[in-house]
Amino acid sequence: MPKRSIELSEDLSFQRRQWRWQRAAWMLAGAIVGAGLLGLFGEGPLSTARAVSADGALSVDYERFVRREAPSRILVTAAPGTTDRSLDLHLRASRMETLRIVAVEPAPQEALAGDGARRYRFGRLSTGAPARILYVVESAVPGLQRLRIGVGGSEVGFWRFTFP
Amino acid sequence: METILRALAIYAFLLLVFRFSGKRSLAQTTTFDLVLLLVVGEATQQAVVGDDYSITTAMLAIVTLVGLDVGLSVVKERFRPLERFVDDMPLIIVEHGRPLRERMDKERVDEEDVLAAARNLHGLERMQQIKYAVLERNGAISIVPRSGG
Repeated sequence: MPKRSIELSEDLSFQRRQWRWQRAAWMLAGAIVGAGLLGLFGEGPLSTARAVSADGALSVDYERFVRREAPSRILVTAAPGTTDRSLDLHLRASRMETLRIVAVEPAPQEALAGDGARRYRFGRLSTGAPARILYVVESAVPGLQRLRIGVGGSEVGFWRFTFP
Repeated sequence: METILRALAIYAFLLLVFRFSGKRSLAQTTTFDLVLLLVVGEATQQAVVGDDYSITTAMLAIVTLVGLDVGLSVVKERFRPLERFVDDMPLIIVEHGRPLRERMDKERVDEEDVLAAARNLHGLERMQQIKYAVLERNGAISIVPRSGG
């Protein structure tokens, strides 16, 4: 190419490299959006999960992937009790202090702490229907967290990952 | 401390996103681009200050962002490869009235954009009257008319 009269710091090889990495970045952005749609960052098929205890009496629906300080739901379903008038639930978590329980529905009659777990006692109707208890929780610190929820003799364990 | 880290993360992220979206992404702001920019700002604001409404946090975030910008411009002056990476480089897209297609396609600029710039800046009527059209680092198109054209 003949010498140009215009004084310009053009660099075609830089430009070509840039076009290449821009293309790659677009693909990456597309992949991130795709992963988001699938629920990698919460609320989607990859994220929504259910854990069931070995005896099948207790199941927990939860989000595997959550974001820091964003409320998420943990729904505990316990099989119908016999003649019990109350239901005792315990919740254990690694780094328990980073898990904030924003709401419990229905409200427990009693909430106890002390042995590294949080214990809740709920009133129960003996209608023969399963009891559903909804926790709304927030994680304050990013990272992996293991949780265990138990009702009576049944216990389920699961993990959740908190994005920053 | 957290505000500073948040501001740092957002600054780096936005720099990358607007860099990979290309020279032209927000250069000529249409009405919609303006709205988009506002929405991006709104989404960013939450991530930088969270739900902390204190003046201290706002000041800390602003000082961090402006400081980063000044700091980056100082480092860019000393270290050219970084300047190229952050600021991009100009690119000739029309030479002696001849559009350089491959370059225009890659940068998503078409002849209409070039002609619009030529009309705006110099009142030119045809591609033939353009000696050089340069896609500048900020995404604007500058026009050098042919002498006596």
